[in-house]
Amino acid sequence: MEDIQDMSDAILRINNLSKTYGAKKALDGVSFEVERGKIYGFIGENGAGKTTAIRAITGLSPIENGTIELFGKSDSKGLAEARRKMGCLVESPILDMRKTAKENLMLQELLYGNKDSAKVDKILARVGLEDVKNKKVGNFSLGMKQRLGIALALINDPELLILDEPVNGLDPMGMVDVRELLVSLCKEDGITIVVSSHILAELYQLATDYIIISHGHIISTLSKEELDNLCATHIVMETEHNDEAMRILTSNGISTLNSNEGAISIYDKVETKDVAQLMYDHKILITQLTKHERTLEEYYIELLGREA
Amino acid sequence: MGSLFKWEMKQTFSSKAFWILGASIISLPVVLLVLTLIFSEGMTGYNAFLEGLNNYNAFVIFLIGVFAGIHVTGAFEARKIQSSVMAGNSRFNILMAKFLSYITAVGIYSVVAIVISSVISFTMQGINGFDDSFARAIIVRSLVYIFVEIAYSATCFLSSMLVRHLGGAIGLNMGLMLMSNIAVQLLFNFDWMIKYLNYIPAAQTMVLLGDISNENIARALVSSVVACALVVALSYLKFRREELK
Repeated sequence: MEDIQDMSDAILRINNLSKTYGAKKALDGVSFEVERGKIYGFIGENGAGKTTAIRAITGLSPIENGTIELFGKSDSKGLAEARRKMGCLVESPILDMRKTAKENLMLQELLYGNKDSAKVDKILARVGLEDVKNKKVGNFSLGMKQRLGIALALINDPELLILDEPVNGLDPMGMVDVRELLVSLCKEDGITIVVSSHILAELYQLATDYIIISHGHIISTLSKEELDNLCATHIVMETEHNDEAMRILTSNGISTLNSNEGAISIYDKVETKDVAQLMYDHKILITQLTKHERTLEEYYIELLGREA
Repeated sequence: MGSLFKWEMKQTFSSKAFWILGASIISLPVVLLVLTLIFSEGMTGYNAFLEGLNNYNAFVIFLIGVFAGIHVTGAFEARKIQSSVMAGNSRFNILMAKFLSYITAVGIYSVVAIVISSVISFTMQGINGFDDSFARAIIVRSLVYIFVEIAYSATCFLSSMLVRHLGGAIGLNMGLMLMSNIAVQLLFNFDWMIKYLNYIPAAQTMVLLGDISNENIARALVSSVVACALVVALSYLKFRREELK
């Protein structure tokens, strides 16, 4: 199949993907796109279809219906070739515990037809394992194994990195390490990343875009900006003259207001700086002005509730 | 395909199973041959050579299934096959690389075992006892025998592709090899079966010990190639759309 020229710079397009296991529909008409240079958080409850979708993209699971277009290729031969530009970590890293970190990477490199010891050292340094490169992987901590798993996924200089639960079981410092590594891979190396995780707070700090899946359906795809707007539910303001502030707000067309416990809550879609400007213009001193937002977790739970 | 094969061979040569089972498959028939030669009298070099081939086949029946299970089913369990799928290799190339690495390992075992057995046979008993030329009776027969052993052992490759549990695969392989050998020996008692048995590698491991005619060499080679092709085709049918855990 010919390369598809595309204006949106989507490197991965999933179209109407379906997959059943026995009587259970694991994926039901799943469609989404992944654009170059972004970090996607792939969110869903257990059994939502995240891993099934990832397994289909990586070729582990044959698809029944729908198409996967990777780097413009969607036929089986083209897809296999396109996967050479992709790095994956699905479920847990595929490691030989009897071998050292470096030996594992050298073997993975051989799979791509290369044998470059210097490159392996560079990748090990990149994931912070240069000091333990000659240690047997069987002695590694979970965090070290996860980082080595990411190193394995980087061995072919991928343009797209697909990571299934890369922070599973990591301690908070381990999570921070992996997050910082992924952000730097995207920013410095221009690698597009798709990360699935249950830890929504972690994904919120990492991702630039979100794909939310539930019961085999994509229920929302949105950017971080859109998510922030959706989560920005109201502004809370405290002033020295709340009654006067309420009157000014009302007279300026702000209708959804609430005043209690010494604070004014504004539910209209207004920017905090506009509210501050309005109070400044009327010489009212603001003692507190905050934007109260839902977290990604709260938004996700609400979305699931709505879907149900 | 080339890099996949190199990757497979690198893993094969670095696996303990390859060396431990290889050492057993090679040394046990040799030890048995030496014991036979020590305790038997008047055996010619040629008969000792045939005894060596027969001993090798006997141990292959018991041990090659273990190697096949570890090499094939073990690779699925260790998610090595999954790793090569994710690295963008076609399933056909992955299967071919796996199959070629398997038959290469079996080929190495066969060559080393048969060469050692032959050297011991002719050193201890002398180069005597054959009517045909040395080249035909020994060299051609050995080469065809190795080919037939590879084809016979390929059966275990297929059965290992069908089972996704290492213990189960080893058990199935050993049972299959043992049962097929016993079945062939029993079926040789029926004259009408012999012409059909000659087209089965399991039977050719016995037929070749006595019949080195051009016709039988052709039958052995063709049936071995067909058997290997069948193993690859049936394995691919199973693997091409298999869900990989």
